[in-house]
Amino acid sequence: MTLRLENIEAGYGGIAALRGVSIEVRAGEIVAILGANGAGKSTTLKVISGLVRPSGGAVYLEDRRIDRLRPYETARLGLVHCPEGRRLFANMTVLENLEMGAYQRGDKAGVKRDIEKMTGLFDVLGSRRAQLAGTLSGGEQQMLALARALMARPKVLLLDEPSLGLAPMLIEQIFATIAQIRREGVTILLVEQNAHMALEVADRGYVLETGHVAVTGDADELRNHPAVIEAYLGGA
Amino acid sequence: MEALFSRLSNDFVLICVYLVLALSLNLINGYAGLFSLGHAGFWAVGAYCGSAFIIYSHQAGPGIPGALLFCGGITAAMGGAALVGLIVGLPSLRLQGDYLAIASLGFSLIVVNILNNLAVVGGASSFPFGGLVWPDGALYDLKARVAHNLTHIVLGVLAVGTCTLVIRNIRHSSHGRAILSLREDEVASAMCGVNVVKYKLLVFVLGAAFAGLAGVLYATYTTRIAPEAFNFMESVKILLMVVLGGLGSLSGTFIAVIVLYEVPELLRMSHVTIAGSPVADWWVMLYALVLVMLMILRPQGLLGSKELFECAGIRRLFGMAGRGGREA
Repeated sequence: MTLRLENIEAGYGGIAALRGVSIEVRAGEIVAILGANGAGKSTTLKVISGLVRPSGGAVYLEDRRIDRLRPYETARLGLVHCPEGRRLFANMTVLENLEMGAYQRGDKAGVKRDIEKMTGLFDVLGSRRAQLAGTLSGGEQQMLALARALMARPKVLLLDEPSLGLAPMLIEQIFATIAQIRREGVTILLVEQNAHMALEVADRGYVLETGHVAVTGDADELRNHPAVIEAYLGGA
Repeated sequence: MEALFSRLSNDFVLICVYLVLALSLNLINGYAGLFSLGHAGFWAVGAYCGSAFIIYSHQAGPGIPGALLFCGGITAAMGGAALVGLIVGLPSLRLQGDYLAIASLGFSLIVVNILNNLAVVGGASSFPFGGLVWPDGALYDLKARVAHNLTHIVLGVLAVGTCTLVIRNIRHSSHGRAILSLREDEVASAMCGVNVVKYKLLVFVLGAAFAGLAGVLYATYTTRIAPEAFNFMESVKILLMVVLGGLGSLSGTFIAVIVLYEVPELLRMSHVTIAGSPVADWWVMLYALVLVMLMILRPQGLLGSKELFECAGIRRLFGMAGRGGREA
């Protein structure tokens, strides 16, 4: 599904966070949003999923305008937001967290199959089904957060800093999984601080600076863009 | 013999009333994580709606059989409390944590205040059923009193049973999982497609309706209610029962209600003198001490969020195997 943001403006209590952001994610693409802290990356995702209501502009999923929908309504359209900081259900088991991911689905057999699939994809989760999510390590929690989002069978997946605080090896694994999810036809919008990894899996990227799009282009272009190299890739 | 029966049946019915109150508050507070300090308010609304229906219908048509009056009373009580729950819940469920607690506390104070000034239900003095008891007869008649007590024991068991079954079934459905997820993280629930406001409202209204059921049971049993009986301390008492038993544990609630009801009743009879002068209500100190100790030793409540049969010790005792309970 195609996701389109047109001239989005949003803020928190009078402080503007986004000033006219336009982003397009075409069906089957991985698009990365890069930028420094406070550039508006997470706010962009929150506007799309309905957690933050924009003060101007419009968001379209295919041809449907979705910027007036509430979070659970966008989730039911197949737009799944895997938010910053994992936000697991800490006192529920790994299995219950996965089941919650599939909350809006009606196909019991399919859900059961997908639980098997997730525990195969992330083998650490398989042995810990009955364990409380809050007792998992940081890396395992990130895997579970991703698995829970996938349990919803998303058409568009919004990922907010999936690599945050993870060891390099786990980051590799997360990004390998993201690439695999895309091969299954899921459209992905990825917010990352880790510009290296993000531009490796992404088709295109947007660089946000204080609430507006500073640079945009193909991933290859961005990797060689002087401003991007200087600010996010640490010289070359 | 008669005194003993009267005492035991009195305790039994009142424990049933508190059980319905504590179980329904556990749904609101323990499962959904909505911190309500106004449960006695819904209890009062139920007691007064039910009583008013029964008393005024009886006045309008003295020939209406008691059972029919009582059924109408239950409907009026649960419906009234649910409606008030909806009205209170719509604006205040947008609040979280401490703010919801304060809003619900304010609500229960308002209820008592309104009742104190509502002449049609007796105002600050009591709202008596007069000679009207169910089954028919007058309370000064021994046989009628026994029948009255026995009827209310049966009704109490039915009310507790219904309440337990309904909450248990909700817990073990996909709705129950959605409700539990609200307690954990509302934003994440919404991201999973859970209509957060709808579920909070549903839980709040259902809990209020059951508090209303406890109200009508209490009213027809005591046959004389006054606003003072539903004051703020009652809300705290119900909350204590829930927290002590364990947020999210129904069997824990049963244990806590029985203990917290019976211990003061037993201690009330005893007398303590310090330096020759009697100390009034000395047991309140002991009661407070027990509560403080318990919160230090078992901050998650007696059973945490487990049920009795999920606890390892009990399982071993009964030689049960299989999947263990969740760690609290």
